[in-house]
Parts: sequence; C-alpha cells; structure tokens
Amino acid sequence: MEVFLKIKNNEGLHARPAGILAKKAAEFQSSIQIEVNGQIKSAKSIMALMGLGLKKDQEFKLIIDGVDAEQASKSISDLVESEFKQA
Amino acid sequence: MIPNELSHLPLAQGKGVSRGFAVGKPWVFRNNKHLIAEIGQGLEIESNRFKTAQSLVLKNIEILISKTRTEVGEHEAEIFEAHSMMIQDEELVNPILQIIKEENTSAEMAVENSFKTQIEIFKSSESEYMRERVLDLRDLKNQLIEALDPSEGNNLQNIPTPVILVAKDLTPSQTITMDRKNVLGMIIEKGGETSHTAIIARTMGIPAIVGVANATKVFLSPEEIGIDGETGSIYLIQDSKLKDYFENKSNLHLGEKKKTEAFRGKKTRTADDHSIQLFGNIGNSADAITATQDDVEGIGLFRTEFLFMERDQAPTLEEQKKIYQEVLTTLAPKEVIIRTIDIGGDKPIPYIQIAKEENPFLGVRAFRYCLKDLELFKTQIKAMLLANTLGNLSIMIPMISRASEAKQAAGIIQECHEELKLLKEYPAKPYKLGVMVEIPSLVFELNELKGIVSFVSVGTNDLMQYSMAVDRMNPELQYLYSPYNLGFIRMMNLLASEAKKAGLDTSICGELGGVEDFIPLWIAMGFKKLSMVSCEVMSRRSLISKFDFKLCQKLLTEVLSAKDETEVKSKLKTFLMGEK
Repeated sequence: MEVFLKIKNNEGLHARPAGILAKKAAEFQSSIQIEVNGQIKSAKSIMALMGLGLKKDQEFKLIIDGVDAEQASKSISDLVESEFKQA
Repeated sequence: MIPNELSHLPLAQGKGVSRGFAVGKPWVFRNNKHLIAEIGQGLEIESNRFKTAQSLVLKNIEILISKTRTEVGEHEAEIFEAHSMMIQDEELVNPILQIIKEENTSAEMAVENSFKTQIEIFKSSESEYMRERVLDLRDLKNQLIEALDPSEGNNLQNIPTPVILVAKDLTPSQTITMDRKNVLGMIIEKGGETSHTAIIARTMGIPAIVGVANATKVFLSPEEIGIDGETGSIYLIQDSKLKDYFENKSNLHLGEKKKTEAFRGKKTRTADDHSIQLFGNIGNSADAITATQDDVEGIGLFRTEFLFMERDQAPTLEEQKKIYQEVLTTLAPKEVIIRTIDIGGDKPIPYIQIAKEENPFLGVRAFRYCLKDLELFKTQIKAMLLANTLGNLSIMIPMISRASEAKQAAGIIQECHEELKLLKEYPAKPYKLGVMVEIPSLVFELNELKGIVSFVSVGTNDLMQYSMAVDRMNPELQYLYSPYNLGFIRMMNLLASEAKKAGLDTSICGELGGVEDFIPLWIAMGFKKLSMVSCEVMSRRSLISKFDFKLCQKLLTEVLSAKDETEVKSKLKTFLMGEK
C-alpha cells in the first residue's frame, strides 16, 4: 500500500525525527520504503532518511508491503502528524 | 640559561615562544590520520576488527546518552541516540564491509572511504540543517578510527598524567581542546613565534618551544626532561640537582604570578597617576572566561577565524550569535572588540575559495575576501549586532589599506543594521567601529578616517612585516624581523600622534602590546589600550605601577633619536632594569 504524507515540524526531518521515524518503522515486519523525488530508500534506516534532507512542508510517499502494513501505515502517519512528539 | 656549575648541555634546542619552566616526562602525541595502512589483512580479520570497533563506539555512545540524559536533558540526549542508530544502520555498515571484501582494504580505509561517500550525500542536501550533520558523521568516523586501533594514536583530550607534550604540529582546534590541566609544557617540531600554537600557549601560560626538529622521535623514552620556554633549551634531567633547578624555576614562575595578585581589580596606572587600560586577546568563548579570571579591563582582540576553521562550512548566523553573545555577556559591561574574519594567506579554510596566489600575505585576505563573499561577511556582522544585547560591542575590520575601504566596510555594516531593524528581536544597541592598522599606507591616512570609525588598533606583527618587507614566518629572516628597528618605532610614534590628532581612540592588539621592553614607549606615545594574552595582564599592571610617566616620555625622546637598533635595545633594557 502507498501512503502520502507531509513533513510538519519546522526543522524538517533532521537527525532526531529521522531517528524516531526509523525506530518506529523498524518495529514492523513489513518492508517500508520512502519515495521522494523519484529516490526510493528504506524508511528503517536513519542514514537513508537523513540523506534525503526532507524539509518542512515537503511531501513524500511511503510504500508499505507486508502483514502488518495497515498498522504500520497508521502508526507512522500519526507520528508524522504529531511532528514526532510521541517518541 | 642553566647556571654553569650544573655543567649540562641542552639535549635539544628550539625557539622559546612561551616563557616559563617545566619539568616532567615527555608524552608524544601521534595523530592517527597519518598511520592508516591501506591494504588489509584479509576479509575475516578486517571485518572483525570493524565489528569490534563498532561495538566499542556503540558502548561509548550509550554511556554518553545516559550521562547527557541525567546531566543535561532528554532532548539533548536524543542527538546521541541518533548517533547510536546511525552507527548500527545497515546503510552505513554494509558499504564498509563491502569495501573490505571487494577492495581488500584495511578496516580504517573502508571506514574513511565509506564515510566520504556519505558525507558527500549530506553535503549536497538542500537543507542547511542536513549539511551541518556532516559534523556528526565526521565525529562518528573519528570515533571508529580511534576505536580501530586505540594503541596507534593517543587522545589529546585525555592525557593521563601531567606531562610535557611533544607533537609534530597541532591544529588550532587541537590546541584549544587539549587537556590543559595535564600539559606542563609543550615541544613542537614545526612553527614559529607567531604560529597559532605559540599564541595559544602564551594565552594559556604554558611554557612552549617550537621548531625542534625530530622532537617526536627524540623524546620517545620516558626519561624526564626540563624545558626553558624563554631560551628554547631542552635538558635531559640526569641528576637531582638539575631537577631541583627546574622545579625551583617553575615554582618561582608561579610565585611571581602570586605577587601580581595584589593588582587584581585595580586600575592600571603609573606611579605618577597616568592611566592606561590593559585588555586581553582571545580566540573563543572559553578564553573569555579565562580572560575575566585574569582581570582584563576588556577584550582588545577576539580573533574570530578560529570559529571558521576545522569545519566543512561557515558557522551559521545562529551559531556565531551564540558564541559572540557568550563572550559579550561574560565581559559586560567591559568593551569587547570583535575582529571580523581574518583569513587567507597562512590560514586556509576548505570552504573558502581563494585562488592560489604568488603572495598570499599581499593577496585576497581578510576584508578583501569579505568583499567577494558578502554573504559570509554580512552574516558575521549581523550575528555580532544581534548578540549585542548589552551594548558593549566594538567591531574591528582587519587588512584596511586606505580610508575608502573603511568607508566601504562602514557602509555594509550600516546596511546590516538597517536590515536587522525590521526584526523584532534586534536589540539595536550602540556599537563602536574601528579598523586594524597593519598596512603602512593607512598610517598616513588616519586623518581621513575621522567620522568613519572611532578607534584604530595596531596589529604589530603585520605592520612590522609589511613595513620592513620581511616574511615573519621565514626563519632565515628572523634577524631583520626586529621590533627594536628604529624606522618601525618612529612609525609607531607617528601613528599614535596622527591618530590622536584625528580624535581616534588608539590601541595595540598585536604581540608587542604586552612585551615589557616596549610598554614604556607605548605609554609615552599615548596609546590608550594595550591588548595582550590575558595571563600577562596582572604582571604588566604591576610593572606599570612602578613607571613614571615623565620618565617614559624622556625615554621615548631618547629612543627616537637613537642612532641604531642596538642603541634602542640597550636603552629599553636599561630603563626596564631600573624600574624593576
């Protein structure tokens, strides 16, 4: 499944939020990939997420594939919505 | 010199650049970087070496996380949690293992190469924040390299016992961050009197000798050595007599320091009540604290270029503002003269593009470079103005050769001020503007500075080398690079009187501002402030208290009509002997 999301926090997806996001993604069995401007990277990797350099208001796509895709999608969407406040 | 009855010859000789005596065991600093073997010992060994190093670094980071969490805060600890995730991340680890496998390299080479690629990715990011994370990567890389072979190098920030530090060369950041409480003295293979290491050693009051060839090879044995930071001699401690001699000398040095304590908190004035101010020179915010402890009456030179060195991009406005504010508030209400970036020539910085020049000291440097990179200059000025919440800021522009350049600088600064006025958080407090006098032509255009700047400060090292056409770093020419030079002293006198006529406040922030021999001359010439390494302030205040202003004036008249350098020198020395 594919989910479209947008970065809301002011500093963008810098080290701390990238770490929180990667940690959350790693909790799920499904493969979770992130697509920005045609680049596809693993959302479970902090390095990959940081390397994308996502800024505030930038949109991105998650491609989630696996048994717990549904839960993963909801959980990550909530996290992004909450500006990574819930760790 | 060592008294003759001890009949010892020095083991080695260099140039003493920071006075004082020290005795202790030598400790040779080896920089890891130079020791990396390119070819590995095979896939299995190198992969295991990497994995061991990785888990060691991870363990250290975990300690750091819990320490930060309890001592600083949860939010700050999260950045180290990010480090911990990064170092375990497959995106980072797999390429390293792959390089070891495919290119048969050492683990160190694989780490270096793989991080290089990652750093490029971060650097090319559109987000400024991400570009700054290059520092985190570099930090992790250094930790890994260190962990790969801890025995190969050693850590300047963690020196186990009090030692005499021996090194090939030290970068400014290494000198600043070293574990100073355990550095009794320093011996450096490279460098001259005005190298950064020498300046910093003097700032910290650590005896230091530079230009000692092969020091890192000669002082490998653990036998104690004694160093004399004035003469530059290094002795092997062969008997208790020699050891006593050095210990007494170093205690005496400390004893003198104690005597000057009586002058803490006092104004600086001569016996007949002529006053002058003693300021300190600094290079970062930690120095500002030291300077306060040394009882400076202000900061006469904050060299900002150190903030720009050893990094991949210029510090941001926020980063700079924070540092300037730390310094300004530490010193308030005392004046702090911050000098805008003085780079070029001798101080290359990776992200600052200065084309190769035949003659970098006469080339695109300091303010000349700033005109080519207005954004860098304006960012620095704005950071200073924003940090000026208490109104004790003075801005000083280096490398000005004529009044029109000063006017140009003043215009840009005014522009920054106008632009900032639109911001709510701009304190818009008053500030002073001044220029360095280090190019001889400006000495003859001081009158034209009237109305543009309110003060001038003399950079004596550069004024000397430019006026005598002597490269101050060239050891062959040291005999010409002499401050006792008649022409130079006459130029200083002219400078002081011309500046006074133009109504400009005058100070000296170069090395000579603090040199005992010359202080009577500076006082007589009418300089208002002398800025020096802060650890010398109280002893100079004590010295000045014994001077008589009228006698200083008489000395000046005599020196100005001396027949040559030798006579100048002997007059100054004799005067000082009489006063001491």
